[in-house]
Amino acid sequence: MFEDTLLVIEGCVREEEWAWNIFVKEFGSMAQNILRKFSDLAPHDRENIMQNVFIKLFKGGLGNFQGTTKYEFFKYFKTVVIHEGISYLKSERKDKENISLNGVDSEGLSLKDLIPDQDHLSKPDLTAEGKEVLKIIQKIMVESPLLDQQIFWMKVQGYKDEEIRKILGIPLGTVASKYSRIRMRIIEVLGEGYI
Amino acid sequence: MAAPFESKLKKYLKNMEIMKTPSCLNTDTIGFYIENKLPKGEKVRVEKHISSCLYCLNQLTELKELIYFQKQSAPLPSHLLQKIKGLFPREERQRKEFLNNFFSPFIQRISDFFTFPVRQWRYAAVSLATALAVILILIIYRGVTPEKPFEIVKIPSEKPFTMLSLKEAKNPIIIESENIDNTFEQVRRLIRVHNGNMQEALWIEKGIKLIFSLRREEEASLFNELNKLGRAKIEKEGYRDKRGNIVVLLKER
Repeated sequence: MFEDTLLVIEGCVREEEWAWNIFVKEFGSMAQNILRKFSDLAPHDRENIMQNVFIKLFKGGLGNFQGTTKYEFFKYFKTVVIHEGISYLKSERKDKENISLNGVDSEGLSLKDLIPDQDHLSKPDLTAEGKEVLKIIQKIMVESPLLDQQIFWMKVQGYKDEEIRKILGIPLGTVASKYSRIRMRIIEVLGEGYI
Repeated sequence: MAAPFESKLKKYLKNMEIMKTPSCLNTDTIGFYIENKLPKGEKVRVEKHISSCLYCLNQLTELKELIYFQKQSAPLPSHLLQKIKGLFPREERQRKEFLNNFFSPFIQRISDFFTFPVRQWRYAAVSLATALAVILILIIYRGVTPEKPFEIVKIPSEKPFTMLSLKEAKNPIIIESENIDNTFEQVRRLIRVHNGNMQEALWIEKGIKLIFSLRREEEASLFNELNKLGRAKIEKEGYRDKRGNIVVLLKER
């Protein structure tokens, strides 16, 4: 991975081909990794979304980036990828019967899980309820080490054990055991029927 | 199917923004924390906050994943890589380059015109100032030093004396004297006194030819003085040459 992300971005904004080639190579890989974890995307969907992402970035998306560090750009890039993914799913919705944007849950992580919930606008009581539950979970998690919290959080979001192992750099057995411990504690406090 | 616990919790995770507080950490701080770039004290403070904040925990896991992706580069399928690289507008760029090449000489000239004073005129200004300084020094030097005696070059000529007068002025002033050298010095002094300017003094056969400039209002006064030097023949007109200078012939008696 190249060191100076912002330098390459500046080169892309100036429409310099060398910068664009590096950017595509490195961030193409990142976009692929981001999209790969969503179980509701077929390979050709991912390719189409990636093309849309880079078109958007080339046509002003990179110029609109206002951050000053690579971390900010990573988040910006992910936001663009997710946004383009959701737009793509919405545009393909009529043709794909198997994609449900608001329906049945699927195993693992799905892009539709990231579509902003409109309920909190129309039903503020749901938001209040969600906030209450999250605050309780937060209280329970404070008792656990930060690593355990990360494992739990990633697992809840739909990451597979293998992905968590790679990202956090821990043994596979640790993932399952630590997750299980916090999960049991939360159910114990809240009760199975609460959430 | 996902377990009821996870699927119910996922519903709440969509609105993580509601958990954000004013004391939450920014992206950079979390990034530096992940890559161990924070001072020890700061690291402890950040860790303590993340441990008690779901919003920042969420940010941490998200950024940790992205940094992991950054380090784990997976090559794109070649056909996809070519497609995306192909988005770079080569034709448009070539057209832009062509337009740039076409207009750049004009733009360069305009640019040079405005930047020339800054880049080059300073040298011109220095040169001009030096030249003016030299001229000034020469003027001052000439002003304080006495005028050198006018050097007279003898030009041997077999042509009669009168031929010269006809050639340069119709009726040159002719002054006859016994000592031509003395007369020449006297005339030269008188010219200077009357603010005249000696242009030429040449030895010619049997005498000296003098050419000098003089303002017309000084003429009468000078001529009066010349008459006193000896036998002077001064016509009413025709004693100036084509350039307006007065021509005098000193002739040995």
